[in-house]
Order: sequence, then structure tokens, then C-alpha cells
Amino acid sequence: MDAIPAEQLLPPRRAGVMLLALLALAAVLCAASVALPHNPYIRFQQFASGDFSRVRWVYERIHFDPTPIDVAVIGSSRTEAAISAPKLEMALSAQLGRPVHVANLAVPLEGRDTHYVIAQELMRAHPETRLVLLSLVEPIRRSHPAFRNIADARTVLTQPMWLNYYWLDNAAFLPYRNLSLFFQSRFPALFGMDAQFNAPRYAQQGGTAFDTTKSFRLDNGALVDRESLKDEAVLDRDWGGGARSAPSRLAQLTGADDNIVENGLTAALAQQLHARCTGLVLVHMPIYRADNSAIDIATNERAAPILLTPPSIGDSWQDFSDPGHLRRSGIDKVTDWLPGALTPYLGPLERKGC
Amino acid sequence: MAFNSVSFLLLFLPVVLAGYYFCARFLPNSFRLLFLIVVGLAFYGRAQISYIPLLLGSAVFNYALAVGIARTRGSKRLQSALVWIGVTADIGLLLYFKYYGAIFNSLTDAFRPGGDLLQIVTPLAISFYTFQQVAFLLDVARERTQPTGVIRYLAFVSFFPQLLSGPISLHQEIDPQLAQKPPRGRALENILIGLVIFAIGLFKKTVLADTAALWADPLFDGVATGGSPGFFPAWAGAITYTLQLYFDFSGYCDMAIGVARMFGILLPLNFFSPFRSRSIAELWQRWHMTLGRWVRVYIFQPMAVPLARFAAARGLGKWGGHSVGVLFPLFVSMLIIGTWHGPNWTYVLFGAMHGSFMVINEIYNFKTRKARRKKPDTQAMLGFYTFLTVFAFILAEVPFRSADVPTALRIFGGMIGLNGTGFGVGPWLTQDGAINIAVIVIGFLIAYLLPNTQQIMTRFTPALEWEKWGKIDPARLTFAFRFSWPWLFGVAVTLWLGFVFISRGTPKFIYFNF
Repeated sequence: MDAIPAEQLLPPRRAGVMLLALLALAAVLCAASVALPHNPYIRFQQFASGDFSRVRWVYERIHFDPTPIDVAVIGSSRTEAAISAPKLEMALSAQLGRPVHVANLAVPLEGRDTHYVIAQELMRAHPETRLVLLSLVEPIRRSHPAFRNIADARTVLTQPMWLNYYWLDNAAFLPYRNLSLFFQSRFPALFGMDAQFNAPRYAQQGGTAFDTTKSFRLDNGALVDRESLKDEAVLDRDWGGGARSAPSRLAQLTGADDNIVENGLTAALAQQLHARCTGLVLVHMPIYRADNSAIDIATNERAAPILLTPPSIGDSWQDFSDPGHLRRSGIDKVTDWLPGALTPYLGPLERKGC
Repeated sequence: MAFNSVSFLLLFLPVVLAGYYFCARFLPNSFRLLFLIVVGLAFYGRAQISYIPLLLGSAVFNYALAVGIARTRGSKRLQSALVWIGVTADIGLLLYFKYYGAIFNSLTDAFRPGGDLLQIVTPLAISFYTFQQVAFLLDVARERTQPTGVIRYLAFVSFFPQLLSGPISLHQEIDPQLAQKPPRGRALENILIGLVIFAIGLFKKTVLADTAALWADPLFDGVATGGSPGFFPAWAGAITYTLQLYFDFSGYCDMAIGVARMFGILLPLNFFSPFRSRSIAELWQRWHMTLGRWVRVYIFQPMAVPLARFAAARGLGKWGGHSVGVLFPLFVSMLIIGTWHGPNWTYVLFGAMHGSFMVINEIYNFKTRKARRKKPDTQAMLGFYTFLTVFAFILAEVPFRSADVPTALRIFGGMIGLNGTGFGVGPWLTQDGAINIAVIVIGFLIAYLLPNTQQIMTRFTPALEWEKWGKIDPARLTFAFRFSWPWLFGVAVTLWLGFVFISRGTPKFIYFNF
């Protein structure tokens, strides 16, 4: 059986230089792809349909809608389903005796990194924002699937690497993403993108008054129904044991804080918001048949005050449309409770020390 | 773990290469082999950790039997018994994991609708390592190889570049190479050559195959959910899928050969420009070559020889003898190749179609051999043979890709015009349609005009038996890699594109399903 010929084809030193040059050149090309310019609006249009198509509306609300945002809700579908921005806006305006504009910028699925990106966009465009309501959830150790699509390259690359199981995949996605965005930005029509604000489409999606707590249909036509009463047996079946997740093996081995990435992002956001005199409150929305014991209260409390929903919200199966999301009766309870709970953070117009 | 994954490229491969050459340089030889076994199992376990014991158990069992077979050479009966035990156990295990559940569920569905169905997860790569080990037992019995130590054997079976989807290499091909320490001073040269081969394969997979999938998948998925494609979409879907499979498998084979080369190991060729073949028989000598070889050596020949003797003994005549001794085993072999892909009637149909094509080809050859020897085929005729070969291959890919037989039949219906032209409903004569046509044209131009990866790397013995293959069917456009800066730049661009497009495509190779 033949094998590799015995004669050496290349002196080791030259082989090493060529190998290094090849790898370095490929790396430089990757870096150059990441550095290609693009239109950030197109970055937020990458999800034409599906769960994350909401991010386009979020970007448009932040950057193109001239209506101020005094209170921004950022989080997952649990906050998206539970907090009705138009109703909260009315209640807060009535309570405070002045117009208070609320936008619910939550997007489905958990992942603090995406919340971080949305908060950055908000801070960039809305210096008037007084308060950010950030969802507080059980530890999940997950990079949001939309994060690598919507975050700018610097944000992706500067995420903490230690115990961040997604860093490499997210970073390696950037050369392709930015290359693609570069061409999409140059030839938007070819890719079905809007280079300029598409106001009619924004209005069609609900515009400023978009209420995220309403029922809607998924791409497959299935109705996500937030109105009808659900069957308790179905909720029990879907419950699946609650929201706890076991620590990762690496964290167990090293004894490290398994949620170091999420907690770090929460703390960083708190700092950045505080520096620009915007308040931050962490708000927890209930899960069916789950108490609050899975939440890391101590760590999160160091970053910002925490609002836990009172026991009356979510105490009944009738408040839920599925184990993770409230239905109308639960939403109404949140709407009744939240304005009062937020008042201390929205009190005097003058910002202390700002 | 897949070759076209970020974690493989940026973490696994560099760490394993460093560890391997460290072991080779500083530790006794057995440590290098142990290291290969451990990383092979880690590579396998990353995809399916629960079946590592099965892989190890199967390897140890076969090795023990092989030792027995080698020691009983004086007693043919005992040796045959050991071979039969081994082959039966191997094939039994394969049948159980791959087919038992499907057969049981079909019967349950037929006779006891609503009954409990079996859920048997097929161990990854079981058909590849089973075939490899069956060949090992038979080759030990035929004295083509011999057991050389359990560690070396485990290193051969678990050698990760070929573990998941082949090539189905033979023990006598790999074991002597594994036994030798990689020569000092050649590591970087081998890594460089392997990386060039790998980069071309990665490009084929992520840029070419995954691009074709953008057009092929929606068509097949849409028909699987009840759609009936028109004439043009059906043909475009079938042709585009064929190209997807072509570049997917070709890319995988290049990557496997490239990674193995980085460790100083040559693998057998598994893909050699099959679309330039002039008959379906030639195509099967150039597509999944090691599977074709396995079926030819371990199924076709053992079946054909006694059948030919039987036909001769019965005086069945020229055509009768040919039918029994060649055509029948040929058809059955192709049927086995088809069924090997999985327990689905679509694969049986795929195998039966290829079996029929092979039989027709063989009859044509048998009838015209003398005449063609006197008057060789013209270039136009040879071109027509190539066209016909690829045409037949495209037809057989329809059931291969279809979710079920009704889906395949609906696509065939579209291909013969039963559902209209498809201009009204498909993306035809639109931007999408135009790009699809471009993808098809570019794909075939690459397949026909350009040298294949091994021909590009011809100066560096890119695969086993290159002495033989290197002279076969040179490309219309010829060029060959050399250690020069312009070439290096070209490879860097290829590697960059291949790496960048990983993020667009699917992490799986089509052949991982088998």
C-alpha cells in the first residue's frame, strides 16, 4: 500500500512560514469582512418573519418614531405578553398628571445580551428615557438567538468570554453576517430590504400604539391566544417542572458563578443607565405554578431594585395562556399593579444629581 | 462534531494536531495511538456520547474474533465459523439498529394500528464502522491483513477523519500508516497540504452545496407537504439537488482526506469527478468509491462467482449465464447499496433504479463490446454517454431526496409535465429562477471543466493509489497547486469563503444520515 512519499517537499521552516501566512491571510480576510460597513436598519430586518421579526419594530420605534420614550420595557416574551404599553401609558399619565410615553420593546425568548443591545439602541436615540423596566428571569445561561444578528460587531466581540458558551459561535458568525449586510446595504432591493424607514409597514405593524399583549398568529397560522380561558389540565401538561436549570458542568467543576455573563450584562446596563440618569428596575413576571425561589435576588439586587409581582398575580391557572405567559386576566392584574409600583421611580421630574 | 463547524476548526483540530505531534515527538508510540483513540471517541461523543460503548464494544469484539480467525488458519471449518459469527453479529447489529425499528413499526401499523411504536435511535456512523470491520474479518480470513494489536485496531476504527461518513477504508490501507511515527520535520508540510485539501472541500460544502440547497430544499420540502411541481421547477429541483449532493459529498471526502493528511495519513479516494463518467458503471467507480469497492468485493463477487459456476454447470448459455452470473448479482448489489442508506422505500427505489441502469448498461456493453472494439466511439458519442449517465443519476436522486415514495412520484409527475410548466406558480423567470439557473450552470461547469481536488493536489500524493488514479481522466482545464505565494493567496481566499459561509449553511453533511 503506498504512503506519503519519503522525500521532503518543503523545508520545515518554509512550511511553517507558508502555513502561518495562509492562516494569517484567511484571518485578515475575516477581519476585513467584519469591518465592512452596513446600514444598521438592515441589520434589524434580518428576521423577515417568525418570533424575532419584532426586532424590526423595536428598531423603528426607537430610531424612526418621533414619539418620546419615557418608560421602556425590555425583556422576553414574558414581559412582552404581560405588560400592555398603551394601558400602562394611560395609567401612569393619569397617576402622574403628565404624559408618560411607554414602549414595550421586549422580544420573544430569553437572553440578556439582546436586552443589552436594545438598551444600547435606546440610550443612543432617547436621552429623555426616565426608566427602563428590565425583565428578571430565572438563570438561563443563554445567548439570545437574535443577538448575533442585531448586535454591532463590537458588542458581539466584547462580550465576556469566560463561561460564555456562545461567544465563539457568535463571533465566528460576524464575518458572514457583515459580508452579507454589506451587500444587502448596497443592493437593498435585491434582498427585499428597506434602506429607508418604511413608515406604512411600521404603521401596519401597530405603530407607536402597538400593544404586545394582544393575541396574534404565528407564521404557521397557529393562534397565540391571550384572551380565552385555557384548560387547567393542558397547562399542567405543558408546565414541565418549572423554570429551573441546573448549573453547567464547567461551573460545577470550577465553582464559578454560572450566570456571570448575564449578571455582568445586567450590572453593566445598570451602570450605563445610571451614568445618564435613567432609572433601572428589574421586574419579574410569574410562571405557572412556580415561586420566585429560582431567581438570584441577591446578585440582581446589587444592580437595580427588583419588583416581584404580588402573589395575587399568577396565583390562579386562569391568569395564564400557557405556563410562561399571562392571559388577559393576568395582564389586567399587572396593569392594575404596575403603575403604583413604578411611581417611586418616576416621581419628581428633576433628576437627582443630573 | 462536523468538519464544517466553528468549534472543530478553531478548537478541536488545532488542539488535537498539537497534542498528536507532541505525543509523536516526545512520548512512546502507543501514547500517540492512545491519544488518537481518545480524540476519536471525543469527536464521536460530541455528536452521540451514548453510543461510544457500542463503538468500542464492536471494535473489541471484532478484534478478538480476528485474532481467533488468524490463529485458526490450520482449521478452515473453525475459521469459517468464526468469520460467520463475526459477520452475522456485525450485520445483525446493523440491521437491528437501522432497520428493526422501521420494520417493526410498519408491521405494527399494518396489523395493529395505534399500537406502541419502537423508538430506536440509530448510532451515528454504525454502517460505516460495521462495513469496515466486516471487511477486516474477511480480509484476515483471506490473509490480506492481520491483527496487529488492539490499540492499533482501535486507533484504526476510531480514526476520526473517516469515522462518521467514511471513506470506508480497509485495515491494510490504514494500519501500516498508523503504526509508523510521523516522520520528523514533515508535520508542517503535511498540515499545509492537508489544509489546502480541506479548504477546497470546505468551500465545496459551504459555498457550493449549501447554495444549491437554497433552491433544492424548498422544492422537495414543498412537494413533501402535498405540492405538485410543474415541469421546470421539478427538473430544476432534481438537478439542483443532484449538484447539492455532488458538492456536499465531494466536499466531505476532501475534508476527510485533508484532515487525515494533517496527521500524515493517506486515505483512499472516495470521489473522483463522477459526472465525467461515460457509463453508470463508471460513475459508481467514481462516486462513493469505497462503498462501491466494499459491495463489489464483499457482496458482488462472493455472489457472482458461485452463480456463474451454477449457470455454467446448468448450461444456461451465453445470455442465461450472463444474466445469472452478472446481471442478477449486479442488480442485487445496487439494491443493497440503496437500502444501506436507510429503512425507507425511497432508498429501495433509488437502489432499484440504479440496479436497472447498471443492468441496461451491462447488456448494452455485452451486446456491443465487439463492435465498439472494432470501431471506437466518436467524441460525440462519448459526450452522449456522459449526458445519459448524469441524466440517469439525476432521475435516481429524486427518490433519494424525497421524504417518501408519493413525494418522489409527484416530482416525477412534474418532470414529465403532468402538472403544467410551472411558470405560473413557481419563481420562474424571476430573480430567484435566474439565480437557480446560474447555480446549475456554474455547478456543472465546475464539475466538467475544472480538475478535482486530488488533481489540483497531484504533486503531493493526495490519496492512496494516486499512482493509478493520477493518470485517469485529466480535466479540460488543468492546473495544479504548488508552494508559491499566488497559490497560497488563492487558498487563503478559498479557506476564508469556506469558513465565512459555515454560518449560512447547515452543519450536517447529507451522508451523516446514513
